[in-house]
Amino acid sequence: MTIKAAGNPLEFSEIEAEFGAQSPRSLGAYRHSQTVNGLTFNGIDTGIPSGSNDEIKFSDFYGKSLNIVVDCFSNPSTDEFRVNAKSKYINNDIVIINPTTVSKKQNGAKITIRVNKKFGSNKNSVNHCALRTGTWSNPAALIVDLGSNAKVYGAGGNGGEGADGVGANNVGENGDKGGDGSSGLGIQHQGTVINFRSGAIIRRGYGGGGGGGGGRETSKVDRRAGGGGGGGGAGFPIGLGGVGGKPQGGTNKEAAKGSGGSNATETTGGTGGNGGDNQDQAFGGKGGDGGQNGKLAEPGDNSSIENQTNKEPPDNYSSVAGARGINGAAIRKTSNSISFSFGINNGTAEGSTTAIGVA
Amino acid sequence: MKAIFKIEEYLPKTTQIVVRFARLHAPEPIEKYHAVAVDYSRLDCYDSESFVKSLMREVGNYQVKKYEDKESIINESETISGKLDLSSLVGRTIECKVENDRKEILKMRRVEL
Repeated sequence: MTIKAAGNPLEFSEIEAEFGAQSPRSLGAYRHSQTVNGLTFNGIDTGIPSGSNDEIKFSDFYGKSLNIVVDCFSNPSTDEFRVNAKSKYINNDIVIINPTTVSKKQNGAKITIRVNKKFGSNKNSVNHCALRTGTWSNPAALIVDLGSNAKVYGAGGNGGEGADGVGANNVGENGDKGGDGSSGLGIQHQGTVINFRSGAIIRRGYGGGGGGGGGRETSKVDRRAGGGGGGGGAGFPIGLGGVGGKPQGGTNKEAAKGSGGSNATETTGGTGGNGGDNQDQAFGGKGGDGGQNGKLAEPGDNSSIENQTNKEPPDNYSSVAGARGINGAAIRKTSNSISFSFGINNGTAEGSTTAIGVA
Repeated sequence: MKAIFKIEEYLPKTTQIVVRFARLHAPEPIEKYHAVAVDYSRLDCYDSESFVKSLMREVGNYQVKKYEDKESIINESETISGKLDLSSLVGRTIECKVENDRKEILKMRRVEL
């Protein structure tokens, strides 16, 4: 628990209760400076002298707390996915700012989640974050400190599958919706402070393109064509291109498959695949391109059928194309009752920083 | 219509290229148009000519047409149909298609067979 505020006499045992017993048992033993992954703590807590010749006194300790750094920086060449920083704390992936070995604690401690490597999310939900704070039990402060090599990325949504032509009764076999992108940083603790340092990047994942609609033309024979697959959305992991649709009936169906969409890269959406072409009579719709910064994912196109107007009953049809996937967010918070602030805001955020819902 | 493309990234590990497309006569530099990721293993990479042709067929034609459709229209225009009255067209801006082929509308009387 944080040492009490000024106003009442402070006992040495209260300092030991917060910062652990030192050897020798002297106030001077708490003069301490420590650097963790380039982040320097000048003092066992802010304002407590750190130099070996600095004057140190009881009053320096009023309102001070144990500092603990959660390790989201080790093994920088190994990317991590869907990380809960609180789980790292529980697993003792931590550094305690102290001259000796002391026990960790949440209550009253200043917790710094130091991030300085690459984190990715998954494709299951826009709420899924690459890195989330987790929920904490009454720390004095929770700080997310993103260093110059921090990259916290949402995943790109996969492209939707192209329609498998048009169904037997001229309904169904529609193009699939593109997958949604997911999100970067999730804030689950009220009052979190984000130190967003120059070079750090928090980026949303982008939606995948929708699958193209299928086509059918029945003037002489039953010709059907598959829709193209949607392109993958940019993100980490990347969105994969959707497969092209394959007609489930009619003539020449093997040759009339739609093309698959292209995979995305981390920053560029993939292109949608072209629709199939059944003997220049039935055409599948193109899959939509995947999303990227400045460009929403596209829905799939409907079939560009050979239009013969005023024909009753009509002999050409299009199934429904898939909708585009939606983008994730750069930063999300659990609910409106959670607020956070920026201590430093020099990094690059791509996407919303006010989205609600963290998982 | 002529088009241009610019390969921004070559990613052999994933057989991808990141490319921008634009019309040759586009109003903006090609860098203003969005890049797209393309799987080049699906393209005809036999030689330069076949590569360019397949890149445009698979991806570029659509991208260029899409941009053309999205570009802002400076001239407000209208379409006309039915009986022609040239005097009524003076001063009006009329929308029409540019066609390269020799197809023409042949108006004829309805023939009942």
